[in-house]
Amino acid sequence: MNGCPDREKNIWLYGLGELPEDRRQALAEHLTHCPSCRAELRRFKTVMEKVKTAGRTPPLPRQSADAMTRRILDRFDAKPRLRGRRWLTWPKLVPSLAAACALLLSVGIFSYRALDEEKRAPLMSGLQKEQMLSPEELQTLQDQDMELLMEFQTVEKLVQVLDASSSEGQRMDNNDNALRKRIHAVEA
Amino acid sequence: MLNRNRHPEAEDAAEPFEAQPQKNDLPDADLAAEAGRGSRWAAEQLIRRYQDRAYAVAFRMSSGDEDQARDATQDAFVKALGRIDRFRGQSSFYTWFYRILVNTCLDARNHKRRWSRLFSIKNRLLGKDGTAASMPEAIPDPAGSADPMESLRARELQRDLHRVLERLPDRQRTAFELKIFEEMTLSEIARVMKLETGTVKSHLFRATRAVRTALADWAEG
Repeated sequence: MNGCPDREKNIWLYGLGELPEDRRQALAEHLTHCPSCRAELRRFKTVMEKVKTAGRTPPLPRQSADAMTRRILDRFDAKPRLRGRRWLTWPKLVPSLAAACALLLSVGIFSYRALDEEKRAPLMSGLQKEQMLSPEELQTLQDQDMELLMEFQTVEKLVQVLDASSSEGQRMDNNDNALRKRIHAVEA
Repeated sequence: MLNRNRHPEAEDAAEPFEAQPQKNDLPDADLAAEAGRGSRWAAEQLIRRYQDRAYAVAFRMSSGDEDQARDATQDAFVKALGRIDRFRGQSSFYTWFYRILVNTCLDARNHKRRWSRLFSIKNRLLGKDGTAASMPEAIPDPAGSADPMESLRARELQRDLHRVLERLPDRQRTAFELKIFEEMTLSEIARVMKLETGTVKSHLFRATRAVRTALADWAEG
């Protein structure tokens, strides 16, 4: 008994008629000279027979069966449109899929073009931009421009002052150099 | 084979006695095709053909609850006939219908289990004993005997079997019940449960071991 590999599994599957043919023959041969396995097979069959008997069910009473049949058929009759044809078939599915693809493609093209226009927006002229602005936005822009111009004027004046002072300094340097050359000449 | 040009319902009035036995012998696939075209007669034939067996499966899967078994059987037929046009005849109608039936019974069982858990919590909160396992009263005396001792032993066996089956996971229990009570082959069970044959074999083996161990005392005699 201990030397029988997979004893229970094989015997039970054999008892249930589900052991593959090659193993079934081998086990049948084994059972002829293994009393222990024969005893287990006998016990297993006894238990399963008792299980079958214990699992017997009461019959469905005829009246209940008839009433149930009527209810099922009433429901069957109530759904005539769903029977006999399937609403989702390939011939219907293909045009729907094609339409969905076309819609996606159009949305994609429009989105791409919108993005492209956004990229091209800096190339628009100032006038075009101003035309797109509201009057309030335009006024704000003009106010900011005036302030900017005033700042530019201030900067320009500063530059002029600096230029003047630097040219004066250069002139003084030139005079000093000429004086030094003259002194050198006299000394020589 | 069914003559497509002659609708069975149209024959009823003309040939009430001769046509009926022939039509009752129609294969499931032909009846299913006719039902798919809206034939009430074909739908009724399919119901009559499988009603008792379906109820027996539902009764076992409902642990002996008659009302639940009746509802599950009815729901399974309504679902099957509602989508009968999807039955392509690749498997037998019987396998296709059993799949719907088993799923309907499993859904009903899970629904009932959830409710019983809820009531068990409620009973415990109220101080009542919610742990006692209920033994269905509707299950008939399996021995069907006048001998009271034999009848008592049969009841005990039924209770032991009920207990062990209740403890099994759904898939193991379903595989076991379809094999032992419906005498389906492993490949049929695999088609009904939408599992590989090897997986069904594994579930069946585990369930068999559990039942064999739990009913070890019943092995002799």
